[in-house]
Amino acid sequence: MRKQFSELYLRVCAEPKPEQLEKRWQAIEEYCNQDEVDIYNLVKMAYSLSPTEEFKDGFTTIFQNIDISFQVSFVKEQELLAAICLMKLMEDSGISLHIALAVICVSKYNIQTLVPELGAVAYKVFGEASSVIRERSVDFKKCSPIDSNEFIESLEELSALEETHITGLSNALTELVKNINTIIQNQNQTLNIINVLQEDSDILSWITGSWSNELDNPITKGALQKDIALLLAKELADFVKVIPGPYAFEAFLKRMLDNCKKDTKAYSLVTMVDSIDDIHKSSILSCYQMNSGKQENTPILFSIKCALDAKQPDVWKSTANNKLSINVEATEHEALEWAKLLYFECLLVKIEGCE
Amino acid sequence: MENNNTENKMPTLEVDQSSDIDKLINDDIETSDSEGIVEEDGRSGFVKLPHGLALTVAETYPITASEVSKTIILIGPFDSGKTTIETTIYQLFQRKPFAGLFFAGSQSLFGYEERAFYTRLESKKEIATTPRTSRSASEIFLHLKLYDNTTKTKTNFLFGDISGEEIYSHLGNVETISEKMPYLKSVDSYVFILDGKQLADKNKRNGAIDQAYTMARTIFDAKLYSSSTRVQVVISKYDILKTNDDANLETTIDKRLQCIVDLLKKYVDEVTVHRVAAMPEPGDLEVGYGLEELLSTWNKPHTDKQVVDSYMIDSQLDSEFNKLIYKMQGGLSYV
Repeated sequence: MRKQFSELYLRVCAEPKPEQLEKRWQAIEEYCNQDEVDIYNLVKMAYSLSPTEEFKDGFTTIFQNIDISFQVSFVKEQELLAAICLMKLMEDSGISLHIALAVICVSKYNIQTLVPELGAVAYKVFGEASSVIRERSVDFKKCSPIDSNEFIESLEELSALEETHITGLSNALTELVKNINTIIQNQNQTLNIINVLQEDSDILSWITGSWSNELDNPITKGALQKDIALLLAKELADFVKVIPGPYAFEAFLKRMLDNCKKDTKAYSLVTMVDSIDDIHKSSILSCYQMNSGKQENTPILFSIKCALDAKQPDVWKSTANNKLSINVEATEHEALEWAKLLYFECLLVKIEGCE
Repeated sequence: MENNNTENKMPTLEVDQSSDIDKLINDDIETSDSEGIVEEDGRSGFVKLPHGLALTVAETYPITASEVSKTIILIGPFDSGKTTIETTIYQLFQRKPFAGLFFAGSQSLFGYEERAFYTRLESKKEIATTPRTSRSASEIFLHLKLYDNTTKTKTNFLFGDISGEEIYSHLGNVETISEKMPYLKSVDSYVFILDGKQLADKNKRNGAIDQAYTMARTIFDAKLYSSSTRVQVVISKYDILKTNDDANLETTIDKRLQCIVDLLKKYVDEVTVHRVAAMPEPGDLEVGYGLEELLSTWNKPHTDKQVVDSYMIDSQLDSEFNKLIYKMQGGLSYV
């Protein structure tokens, strides 16, 4: 990452001095080594999406403390440094999947970013995390057999405990505790396997049924993909029991959308959100909504909320544009891409609730 | 009368005072290092003005670190029209918006004027030319800030005014070029210029194309590019090519250029071919022919659309459920 940083930094400073590079890297490490990292504001900063002033102050202070010449007005440099912090955190920390999902959720809105590699890294992290769930072999441990009959019999004849008996009891207890821990580990693994199998079973049944649980109707060629894509994303996310869900999620969404009338047109977020009625908007938000302050990190869910609050199609877009710093009309994707993005947002809400 | 004379009299400077003022001016103009910046900012009432000449690599830092910027490097042999392209773009903004963009400032106005002078009537030359780029010049970047009224955004363009010989001195030597010009790694667009005049000449055509091919190969083998680098192959002086009698000339050139395009596509996703006549001789083509398209190509935003958003893993899948990603999509393998 250190070498990659030096190369990426050239995008804001074509001829950096070695000490400047060293100080920036030192500050990146210091930022990443904090006990708590505000990944949501960090993502906003990396994608020019208006992080809070408090966050900006805290971020720049770390860099200024190490290099007094660090300029607060050099916002592009800060965006690049934020992106590098995210890449480093995805490489090193236990919250890499959480960060990857947060990055993916804002990465497809035509935002000019200095580090497009950040999105690629996030997708890679997601791919590895989602595939490994069903690829890893099960490692059940066996309990060690304890032959304590003789010892138990000897205890029955005792009137008082001697030191050897106490040692014997201690050993027996240690073995017992060890075995109980093994059983707990095995039980956790079994539970995880059951969850994965349940997830598999639910998804396969859902696909076989070609049925929308939200609409409570079969999905037929009479339906338009744009009207149903976001609902299907929510339904698939509902089945996810082991985050980040199935590796083949895109194939599942595509198969379900293929039940609708064929459509390769690109739609704006405004069209997608206005295509679903208020009942289903509420249904999505009742399950998936970020806390305030983090809502802008899930642009589709936030747009659904704005649309629901406004109670009229189209009029909500200026509120969403202002709060999100994203042009909700300008970004266009096919229905499948929007479904994938909402699915990622739902996973982000799920992972946020788990930690 | 006496009073009036006093008012009209130009102020004079004593020798000692003038040297002080020179010092003061130099202090303000000089590009200071990072510690200097803080001192400057701390001096109330002082605004640091750009010196106006072409910028050195180090001087681009305050621009690239604070606003959206695009670095464009024009590469081509001597007299191929690199500087003419740069200066004509600047001059086209003198009267009206160009390519849907408005002039929003420049920190290298003197640099532009210096180069543009030779293309203007005032220079009293019969044919519009630009001065030969000095090989030793460290001030290589011309700066142009443009405002896009559609997207309401400003973008800083930094045009690398690098002499042809500078690149040629590294031909075939991958290591020295990356050591000497590491800043090329962050380039947004490389513009490989092929001189239309040479292409029109049967005896020079192959040599010109081979030279461009070797230059491109040297730069890309040295890994002086990023995932978002774009390349434009530009035929300059297109007016000369267009007036050539050979009807098949352009088809012949296109075929030969394809080998350069094919080579470049091994390294970067976006390679486009443009025909340009920045300062054409009087005829059918107007001044700046082809530059609008070229500028629009440079101005296209770099977004995450350029990122491979694939989450496919390289290792073999054993889980049948995971394999559905291929099976349910017609067995297509993802890249």
